[in-house]
Amino acid sequence: MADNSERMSRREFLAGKVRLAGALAVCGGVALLRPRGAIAGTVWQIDPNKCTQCGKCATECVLGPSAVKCVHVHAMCGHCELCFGFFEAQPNALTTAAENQRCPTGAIKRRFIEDPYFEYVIDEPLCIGCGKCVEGCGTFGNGSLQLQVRHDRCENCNQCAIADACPSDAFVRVPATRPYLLKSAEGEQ
Amino acid sequence: MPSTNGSGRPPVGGSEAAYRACVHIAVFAALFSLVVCGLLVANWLQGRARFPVDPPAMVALKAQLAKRPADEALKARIRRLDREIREEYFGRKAFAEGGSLLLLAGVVVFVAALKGAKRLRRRLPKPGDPPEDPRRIAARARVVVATLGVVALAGLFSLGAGAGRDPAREYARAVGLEERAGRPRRRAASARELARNWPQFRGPGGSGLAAPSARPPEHWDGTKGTNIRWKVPVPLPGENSPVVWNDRVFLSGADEKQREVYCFAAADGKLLWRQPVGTGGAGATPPNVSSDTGYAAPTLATDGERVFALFATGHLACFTLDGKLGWLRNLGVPDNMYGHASSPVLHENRLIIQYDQGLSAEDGKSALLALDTATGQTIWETKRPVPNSWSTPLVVSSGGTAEIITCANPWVIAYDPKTGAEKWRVECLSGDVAPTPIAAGGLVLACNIGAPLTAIRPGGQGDVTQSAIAWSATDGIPDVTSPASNGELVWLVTTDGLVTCYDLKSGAKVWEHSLERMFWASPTVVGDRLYLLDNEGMMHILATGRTFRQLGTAPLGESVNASPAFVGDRVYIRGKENLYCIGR
Repeated sequence: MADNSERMSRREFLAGKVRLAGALAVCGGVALLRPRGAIAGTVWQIDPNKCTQCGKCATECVLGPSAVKCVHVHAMCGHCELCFGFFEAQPNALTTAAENQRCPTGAIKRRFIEDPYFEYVIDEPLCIGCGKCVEGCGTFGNGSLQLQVRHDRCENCNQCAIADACPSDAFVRVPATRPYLLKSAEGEQ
Repeated sequence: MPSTNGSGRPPVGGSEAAYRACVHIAVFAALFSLVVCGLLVANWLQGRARFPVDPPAMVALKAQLAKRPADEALKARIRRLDREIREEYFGRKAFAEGGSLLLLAGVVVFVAALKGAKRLRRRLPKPGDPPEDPRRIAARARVVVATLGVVALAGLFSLGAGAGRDPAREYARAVGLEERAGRPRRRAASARELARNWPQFRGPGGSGLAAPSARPPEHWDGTKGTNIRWKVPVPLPGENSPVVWNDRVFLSGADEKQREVYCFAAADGKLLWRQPVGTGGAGATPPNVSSDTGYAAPTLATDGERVFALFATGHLACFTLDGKLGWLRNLGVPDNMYGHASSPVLHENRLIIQYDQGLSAEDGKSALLALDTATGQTIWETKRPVPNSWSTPLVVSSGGTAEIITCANPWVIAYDPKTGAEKWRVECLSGDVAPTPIAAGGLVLACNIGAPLTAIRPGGQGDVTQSAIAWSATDGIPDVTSPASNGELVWLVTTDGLVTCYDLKSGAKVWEHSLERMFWASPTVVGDRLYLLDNEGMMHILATGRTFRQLGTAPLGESVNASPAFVGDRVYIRGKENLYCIGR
C-alpha cells in the first residue's frame, strides 16, 4: 500500500507551478529590460589601425550584406575635390560616372559645397563593407573613411566569421559601452 | 459510408471538410516552402559567384579605358556593366529578403495546418448528425486550397517584383546616371508657352525677335512715371537681362562676395523671393572681372519649371519657380579676362553652357556642356578649339534636326544637342567675340568687330567655310550687341550708335544711320518696330522698313546695359539700380 504522506496534494501542486511561473516571469522580465550590450559585455569591432582592407568583411559575414560598413569621420575629411575614396586612383574625369567611381555599389554620395570643396556621405543601405574606399582614402588621403562593425546590424556571434577569416587580426572584442573604434583627427581612438 | 482518416477514426459532418483542407494546406505549404527554399539556395550560390567587388569584366574594361581615355563607347559599356552588376547584386539581396519571409510564412502555414488537422481528427460526431456529402467536402477543400494557392502565387510574384526594385537603381536615378529615356519627365514647354514668355537671353528663340502677341507701348517716361507700371530696386548689381515666365520675373545679382537670384511678381514688382547661391564655406576665390561685366552678366534661363543662374565665379544654380534650390554646381572659376558673360540656354531637358576660357585655343580650356536640367549632372561635355568668348549659344532647327550654334574666335561651330558632337564649322570670326548669333530666314548670322557679318547656311558637315557662307558684309559690325532680324532685313547696332540695315537674302546694305548714342543692349524686333535701348536708358523705336524712320523715343531715366524683355503689352527693363515694368 502506498504511503499517503509522500503524495502531493492538488493544492500543493498548483502552488508549486505558480511559484515556478512567477520566478520565470521575473527572470524573463529582467532579461528583456537589460540592454543587449550589457548582456554580451563585449562586442566585436575592427581596429582601424590593423585593418588592411582585404575585402573579407564583405564576403565572410553571416549577414548579407555584411554588418561591416564604411563610416566617414567627417571631422578628418579634407573635402577634397579629388577624393581617392570616391574616385579611382587615376580617374578619367572628376565626375560621378561609373568609370570614375571606386565604390562598386555607388554607396558614396558626392555633393558640392563650395569651390573646391565637396562633401562625401556614405549611403549605408548600399555599402557592403568591401573597404575599397577605405583603402583609397588611407593610401592617398587622410584616412577619414574607416571600416566598422555596425552594431545596429551585427548579431554579435560568439565566434565572428569575419574575425576567423581576418588576416590581420583586426577584429577585437571591445566593451559594449564603447562599441566603436574610430581614428580621430587627433590620432586617438 | 463516411470517409475515414489515416487512423481509421472518421471525422464527422463539417469537420471532415476542414480536416481535408488542413491536410491539403499542409501538403501545399510544405511543397511551397521546399520550392522557396530551393530558390533561395540557388540565389545564394549564384550571388556568391557574382560578387560586385572587382568583377573581372569590369577590371578589364577599366584597364582598357586607362589606355583609351577618350573612348566614349567604352565609357558607356562600363556604365552599362556597372549598372547590370549592381542591379543583379541588389536584386538578389531583395530576393533573399522577400524569400525568407515567404519561407517563414510557408512553414508557419504548414505547422498551423498540421496542428489543425490533428485537432480536427479528435473531434467526434454528435449523435444523429447526418454524414456530409463527400462531393461537397471535396469541393470546399478545393476552394480553400485554390485560395491559398493564389495567395502563395501572389507572394512569389511580389518576391520577383521586389527583386526588380533595388537601391542601386534608385541611387542611379538620384544622381542622374541612369539612362534618361525611361525616366518620366515633365513635358517640354510648348512653342505657345515659350512665345507667351521670355525664357532666356534674347527671348523665346534667342534671336531677339519678340512673339507676335507682344504689343509694347510706343512711349513711356521713367522720369515722370508715364506708362511705368512699377519700378523696384534690385538688391545686387548685375548686367543680366530679365527673363519672364507667366507671373514672375527673374534676375540675378552678385558682387565679389555674394551671389543671389531674385524673383519678382510681374503684377506689382514685389520681390517674391531672393536666394543666395554658393554661400558659406571657404576657398572660393572670385575671378578678376571688368567693371563692365561684373559677376552676374549671364542672363538666367527658365523652362517654366525651374530657373537656372550662372555667375562669373562658375556657380551654377537651379531653383524651382518658387525659390527652392534644385541643385547647385560650380563649373570651376572660368579663366576669362573680362569675366564670364555667356548665358545658359535650354534645349529640351538640357541646359547648354558655352564655357570658353583661356587666352588662346591652345590653352585647351574651352568647352560646351549639356547638363541635365533635373539633376545638374553633365550629360556631355565637348572641348572647343577657341579662347575665351562672351557670346551666348543659339539652338536652331534645320531640316528637323536641332543644332547648337556657337561663336568664338575664329569659328562658328555647330554641335549636335544630343551628343555634343561637332557637326560643322565656319572660320569667319576674330577678336574678343561677344555678339550672339541669330537665326533668320534659314540662315545663321554671326559677327564681331574685326570680322564681317556672315550669313551661313546651316546643316553641313565638317569645315564648310568654303561652301556654306551665303554672303558676308563688313559695315557697321558691333563688338557687344547682337544682330536682329524680321526675316527680311537684318539690323546691327554698334557700341557708338551706328545702325546698319542689310537685306537678309542678298546681304546688300539697305541703309545706315547713326543714333549717336552708346549701345550695349541688343536690339529687338517687335512686330513692325525695332527697339534699341541705349546706355542712358533711352529707347529708340524705329520702323522695320527699307528706309530709316524713327517712330519715337522713350526715356527710362536710368542707365541701362541689359537687353529688355517684351511680353504681351509689357516691357521689362533692368536699369543699373532698378527693375522696371513698362505698360499702359
